[in-house]
Amino acid sequence: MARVQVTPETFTLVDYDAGAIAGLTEELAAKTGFPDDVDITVEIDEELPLPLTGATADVVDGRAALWFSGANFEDGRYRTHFDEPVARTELAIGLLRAADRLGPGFADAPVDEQLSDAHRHAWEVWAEGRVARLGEHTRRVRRLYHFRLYNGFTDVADAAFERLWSADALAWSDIEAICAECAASDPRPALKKKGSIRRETLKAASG
Amino acid sequence: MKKILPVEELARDSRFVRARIEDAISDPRQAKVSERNTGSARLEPARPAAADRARQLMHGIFVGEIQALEGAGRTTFDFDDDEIPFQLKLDMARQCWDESRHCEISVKLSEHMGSEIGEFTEATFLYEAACAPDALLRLTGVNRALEGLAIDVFNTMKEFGDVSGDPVLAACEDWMLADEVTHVKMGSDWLRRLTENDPERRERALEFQRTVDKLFSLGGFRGETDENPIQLARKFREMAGFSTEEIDDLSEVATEAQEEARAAADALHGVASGD
Repeated sequence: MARVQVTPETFTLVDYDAGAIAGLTEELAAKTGFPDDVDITVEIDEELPLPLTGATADVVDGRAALWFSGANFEDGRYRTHFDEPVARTELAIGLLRAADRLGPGFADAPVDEQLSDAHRHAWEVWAEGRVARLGEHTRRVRRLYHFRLYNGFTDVADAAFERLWSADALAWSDIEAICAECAASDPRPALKKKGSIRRETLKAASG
Repeated sequence: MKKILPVEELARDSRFVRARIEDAISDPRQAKVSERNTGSARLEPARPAAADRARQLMHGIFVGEIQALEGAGRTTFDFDDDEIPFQLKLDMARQCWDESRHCEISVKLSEHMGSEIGEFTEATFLYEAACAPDALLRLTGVNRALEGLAIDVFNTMKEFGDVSGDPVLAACEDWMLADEVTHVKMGSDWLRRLTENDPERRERALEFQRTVDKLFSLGGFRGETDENPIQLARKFREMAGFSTEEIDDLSEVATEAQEEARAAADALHGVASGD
């Protein structure tokens, strides 16, 4: 069995190629230093178009389980078309976060669907910053906007973003501490509980 | 210079990619997404993918502002002085100035949200609705329908800025919203003045507005329920000269558009699944 498994094997709603995505994942796993002996599954929900983005990166039974909305790989200018630079960034972020989970520093981190938006986006800032330092395409200002939306439009949050983006090594407790610092200076009332677009989560919530 | 410029001849650089509204409606993914109960469709931070939804909407506002500028600009030129009052042209020229400012603000807001010009497609149905050969239809189609939509969109974005604590977004949308109320009011005032002695012509113009309003409701994009991302801004529409009855009519038109889109999607889904 190949180390990287992409689901579905054939896309019917979008012009994506599972073999090409598996190849990119292999390449980026090597580039990000993902452990050679850990299998990787990449599940893509092709029913979700832009702008319905979303992704999770967990470790399940010792393998990296990456889930992506199809929107995360979609070209905003050409409906259903694959955007390789954006897909590379998304895959690399997922691989780095799954690798984080394999280490002891993130052993206490909840699974992705249970992370708060604030924690989730802080962790993604750190991952995308590392992707940038690997020389890959990144979208720094977009990431800042995502981060501010859940950690506050404040100077404290902006300074936290800079620290996350440029950090070399962090643990889950560091992410928690940074988010707590942002929350303390955020004048907004607590945000509502986050929603989900992932089919399995919706089923679980309604059942 | 050519009068009545067709949409194909609008000047755009290579960053802009046109999209057809039919492509969005016929995308089988839309029906599949609507089958998922993802909660309220209102634009708020807790909603899934809120940041990217807001970014895409902001880009849509930006291209809409370009087309609003082009539409108002055409009205200053497409008609001779014996066809429409010169004062009306001056109002349209003032509107161009406002729309130009809105374009610049929208670009800066897009940058603030991490988007690039051309990151998303441009649908040109706004300009197409703005090119009626009768100036009166432009007043209803552009100033009352298109600019009315702008009131709803800006109010929704302002509320999103407020609830997400984004002072830049909230302030900019509030300023643009004030301009849009003026633009709609200009349309309401000129419609009354130009049809003072011709109620049949006024009715034809209002019928055209209803058609455009239905188009701009975009199959449930706008309305007054939790299923609609863009909420009908009653208070600001009243300030812009809409009567309560007219707003109620618009709400009904939006509901119809949503039901028709749902039926079309169901039919398409049935064909795709072989039912």
